[in-house]
Amino acid sequence: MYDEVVIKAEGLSKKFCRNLKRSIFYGAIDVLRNMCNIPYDLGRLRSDEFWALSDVSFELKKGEVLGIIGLNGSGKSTLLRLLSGIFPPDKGKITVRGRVGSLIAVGAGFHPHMTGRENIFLNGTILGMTKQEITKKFDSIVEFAEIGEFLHAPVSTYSSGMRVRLGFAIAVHCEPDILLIDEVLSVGDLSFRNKSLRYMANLREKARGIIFISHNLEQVRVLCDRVIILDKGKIIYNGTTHEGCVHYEEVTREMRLQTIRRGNGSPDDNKLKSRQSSMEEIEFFDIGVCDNNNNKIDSVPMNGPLNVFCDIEVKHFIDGLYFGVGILNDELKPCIWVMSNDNNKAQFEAVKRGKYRLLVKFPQHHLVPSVYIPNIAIRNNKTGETYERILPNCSFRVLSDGSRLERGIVAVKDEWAFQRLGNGGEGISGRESNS
Amino acid sequence: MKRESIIVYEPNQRHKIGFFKIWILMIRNIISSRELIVQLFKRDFFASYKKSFLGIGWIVVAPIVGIISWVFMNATGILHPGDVGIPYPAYVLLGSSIWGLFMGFYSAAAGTLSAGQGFIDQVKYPHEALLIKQTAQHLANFILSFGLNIIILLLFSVIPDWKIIFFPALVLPLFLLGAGIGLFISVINVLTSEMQKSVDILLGMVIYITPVIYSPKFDNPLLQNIIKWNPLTYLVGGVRDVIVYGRMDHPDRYLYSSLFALVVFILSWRFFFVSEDKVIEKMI
Repeated sequence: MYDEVVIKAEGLSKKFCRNLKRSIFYGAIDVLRNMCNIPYDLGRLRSDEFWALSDVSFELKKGEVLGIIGLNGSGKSTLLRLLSGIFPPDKGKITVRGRVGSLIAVGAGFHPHMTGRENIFLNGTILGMTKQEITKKFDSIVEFAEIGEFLHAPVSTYSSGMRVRLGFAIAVHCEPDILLIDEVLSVGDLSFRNKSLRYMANLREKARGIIFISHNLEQVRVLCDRVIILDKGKIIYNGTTHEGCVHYEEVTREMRLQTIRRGNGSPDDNKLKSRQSSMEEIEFFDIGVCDNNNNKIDSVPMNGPLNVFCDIEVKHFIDGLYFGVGILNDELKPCIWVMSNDNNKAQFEAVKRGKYRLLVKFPQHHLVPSVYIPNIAIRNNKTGETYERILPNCSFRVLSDGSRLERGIVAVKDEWAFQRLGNGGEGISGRESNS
Repeated sequence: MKRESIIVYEPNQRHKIGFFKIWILMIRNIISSRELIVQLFKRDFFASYKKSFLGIGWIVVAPIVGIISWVFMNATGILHPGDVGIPYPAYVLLGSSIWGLFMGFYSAAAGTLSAGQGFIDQVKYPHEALLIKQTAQHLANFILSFGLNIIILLLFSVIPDWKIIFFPALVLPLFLLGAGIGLFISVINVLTSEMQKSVDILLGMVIYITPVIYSPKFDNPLLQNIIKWNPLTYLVGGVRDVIVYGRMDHPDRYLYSSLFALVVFILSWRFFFVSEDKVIEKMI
């Protein structure tokens, strides 16, 4: 089934220009060269130009659903436009066997003053259907879009959801040989999304091949046979869906970590000062996680130990202190929160002037692979004053063991059973999974 | 068995296609896009009047206002155009109507790529269809207002010559010249709007060196010379003369001007074909 190649991309590259004025200038030069038939090297970057896609090669085989995942700006949409023939490549070659249809922007070309009916014919024709085809599928499109009596009303009177549903309904009825889908299965409410997914599953049987772009890893896992991960215009992974999704999660975690850190300044390990005003008696030096030898680290394995430290300088004698240590996720929701005075675990009385390290050890943390931010609170035992520090630039990662995708907040062992209820119920076997 | 289509995309692909093959390809594209042309025409022609009470009636408002103003100026004696053989307002009306046809061909073609704004960078389809849609839209407007003009001519007791039946063929060179300039501008306009603005101003001035609103019979040698070398003198004036007098003063010059228009169109058509996919990425 998968032997015949329906799309072959060989060394594809596409460049764009960051600077608008230069982009216009380069465009004019290129057009002038075209006009005068002067050959020029498309493979050379000029000032302010960058490769939106660089040396991308892959194959889509007959009957295959290929997922393309990547962060924003990684070149996914550019790649789809190249495969659809909307943009020409600057380097490389694309060979396509069959009619390509794209679900890139649903509702392209809709006229707000025209009725739903008129727009079905307009949009369907833009997407490559004949009038006869549209007439044949008209009722099915209307039913799919769930627009009811609004069919004869101008599209400008539609809600945004209705408009998207109509656009999507038309697009999925095109039924091309090879389908390119860009992030459109997330339109509409849950029931419409389910209907769209059902339709996609049907289409999968009929189409010769599908390329599917999505940020929704669950959809990618269900729909795709294979995935490609794009990063800054390059393929960094091309392989099985499961491994690809786990790998992509790791890439997004790394990116989130960098973003969180970048957004809050670079860490200064020697003399880290909080941007918030410090309490007079205490100055924060450093906060983070460390290994058992007290060396600062920026990632820990899942289901392993977690040591959180906080280095402070006490400037004046303090009668009594207690601490709160929290681990927040990247949405600043607390995943772990412990207090030193709970059940009288630790008492810190009569703290003298000097430098101290607070160390809290969790022998097994159970956090799912993600990015976390330590949160330290210091409270004066006598007055109750609280000083809290959240330091995103001290964030750390919990690494995946690469075996499966983790969801929620904590990683737990799970065993599954599914049995018919009633007399003589027999079990239906399922794969067991353990963290 | 259905023949499988294999499409290959490579850099500078259109560049490598031969001069004549482009013609075959583009004409084939236009034929295969006829349903798209009809749909886009419906969208842009009828839908543009949907939000007005007068609706399609707006097409005749502009010519009526134009006629009234010319009749008024003529009646007050402000204009002394000399003897043109027919009532002056009718002469101007016909000339400016044909001039408008040329300008319409130009602006319709100049808007070819921008007419696809919103989906040109989303869906692959032959963009030649947009030129035909634009031209058809302009012609629809023109036919309605031209019909009105003929009625006015009859009111001025000007009976068009029977040779008016050749009108569609006679204005073909006007289409070639207008669309030729327009297609070129359409590509450049994606990059920078300056060129279109400049050409708009330039063509706005060309009407003064074309005997549209005045008779070509005068003494100034410089203007005579300019008018003589201006192809539009023959392409616009020639068509008008055929309608009014049933003959052309300079059929040979009309022919040369038509050939010139054809060359402009051929060059521009190729330019459009090899360049348009390069500029579409700038439309995002």
